[in-house]
Amino acid sequence: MSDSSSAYSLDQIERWMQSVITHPRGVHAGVNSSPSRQQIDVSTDQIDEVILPGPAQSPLERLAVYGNAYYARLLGVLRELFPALSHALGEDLFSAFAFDYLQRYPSQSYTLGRLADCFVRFLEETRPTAPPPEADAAGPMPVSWPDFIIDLARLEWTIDEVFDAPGVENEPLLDPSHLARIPAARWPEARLVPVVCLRLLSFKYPVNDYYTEFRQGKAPPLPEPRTTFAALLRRDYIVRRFELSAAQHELLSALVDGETLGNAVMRCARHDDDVERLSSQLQAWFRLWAAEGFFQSVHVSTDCSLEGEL
Amino acid sequence: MTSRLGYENLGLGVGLRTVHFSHILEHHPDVDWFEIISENFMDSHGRPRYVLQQIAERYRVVMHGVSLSIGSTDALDFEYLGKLKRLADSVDACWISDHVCWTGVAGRNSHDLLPIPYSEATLRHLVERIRIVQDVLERPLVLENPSTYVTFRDSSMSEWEFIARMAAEADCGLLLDVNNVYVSSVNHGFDPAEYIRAVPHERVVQFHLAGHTNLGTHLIDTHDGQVIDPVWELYRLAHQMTGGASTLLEWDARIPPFAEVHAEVQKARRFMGAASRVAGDEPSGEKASGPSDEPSAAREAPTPSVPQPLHYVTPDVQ
Repeated sequence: MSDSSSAYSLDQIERWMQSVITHPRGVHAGVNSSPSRQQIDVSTDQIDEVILPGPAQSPLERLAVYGNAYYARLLGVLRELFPALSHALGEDLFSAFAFDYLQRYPSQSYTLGRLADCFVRFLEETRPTAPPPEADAAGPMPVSWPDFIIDLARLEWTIDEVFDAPGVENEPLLDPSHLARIPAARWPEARLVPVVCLRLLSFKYPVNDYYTEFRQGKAPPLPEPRTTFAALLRRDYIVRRFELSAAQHELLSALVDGETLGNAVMRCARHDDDVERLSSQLQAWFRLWAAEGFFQSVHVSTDCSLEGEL
Repeated sequence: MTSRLGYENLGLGVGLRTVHFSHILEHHPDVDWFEIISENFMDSHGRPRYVLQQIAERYRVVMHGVSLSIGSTDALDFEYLGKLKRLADSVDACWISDHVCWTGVAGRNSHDLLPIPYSEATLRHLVERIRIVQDVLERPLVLENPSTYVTFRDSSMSEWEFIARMAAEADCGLLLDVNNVYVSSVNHGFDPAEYIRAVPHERVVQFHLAGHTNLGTHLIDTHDGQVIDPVWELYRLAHQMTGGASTLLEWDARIPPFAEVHAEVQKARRFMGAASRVAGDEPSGEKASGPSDEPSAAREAPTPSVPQPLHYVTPDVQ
């Protein structure tokens, strides 16, 4: 794709320019880098063979407009995607993580909404150990500090995902009163169908509480490690968060896996030695979850199906 | 070809932005039409799409994309084009536009509107791809002149000659961004009025207006403020030469309340009459040599100044 008036093909120019403006150490280093010179072999001293000077800018200064914008734009989007994590780490440290992420996982999507598709995976792979700004005053950071970062990133990314994922706003949901119509003897075989936007999460840190305090405008301190669980779903186009116990998380996970209620309760019981107490709580849990829109329908058997507006 | 490819003059429109969703749904402002960023809605199953459907029931909607990457040497993304068409059909979009640019290559996306060399080879490349896209979308594509910050030595023609030939050979429409013409004219040192006069006026389907930032040595298309007087004068010239076309204001950073954005685009009515200056007498406005000639309405440089596009939808969470 070159012609007699062109020194370089369009493909060469585009690959060269992309390599230059996305170089982590700026366009000067970018022009002199090996990937760029494999496309167009010019040094910064020869740059005007490709880019002409402007009325008041050198060719490198002109390229730097794009180079600066590339990182400013994408770092800005990542800060918007992970506001609580950005707060927890401080802007500089968050930007350093995000900057490294963009090197390893540059965007391959037409939408900025997928820019952070691999951010949690990146944090899991790298387990960044850099301390937060307050670490000096707070003393040594716990060994599990990277888990806090990963947990908080996972919570925020799931919130973003649920916000625009398929939901059930225009579909009938299970009416809580319908649960009472199921004969007690049929409960073990019942299958509750969770809504498509339900997400279940487990954390090593209480990041849901941390996120709540952040949303309230507080400046939450770094929490102590504590295993926590949460459910996320979207109702009326707003993402809702629910703290869960370990038993609740196990029960809902089993239902998401398609287990019957009987089998789900059995799985749940492994997390709670007090079976009687568990049994007494189940009815209240299901009433609450049904009222909050956790379930689309309940199926008891082929001859007894209760869905939506029955 | 039908004049303006059969696309009607929709009047004065505003770019639909998330921060204004609630105001629009509650107050139903008297806006002629809305332009949406296609990529913010084509995959949405949540509130953005829900709001768009309601708006599309009441207002005419135009789709404006930032990721078609018509100038890239990567293969066209037919999955993307399919989604674009389905969204256009679902909101009965008046037309679909994007930019004369590339956004990435080798499978990557910079999420920026990157410049192309204006050469014969590039022209052939774009024309071929525009024809394919138009076949897929089953409607004429409308392409916008971007703000640019570099000039390639490989360019063998002016931007306006390139765009005129591209539009004629591909039989596509043009979205003439008057602010971009102005920004590029300062950054490259050409006469913006010459540009406005040279584009094929019968193919101009739409105008864009926006604010920009003066960094002293160059201008950046930041969409973060009011339209400055020299851009309004260029709009007057463009309106005069084209006979008028759908006009839209973009405001993407430091976005004020909807009423202020709406009021800004309504200023366009003042510039729809005869030119206040004789053609050729248009103000050159800002100079790249320094900020001393900066018009009173131009903004001081925020830090950092990021050229548009910068579009991301923030989730609603409880």
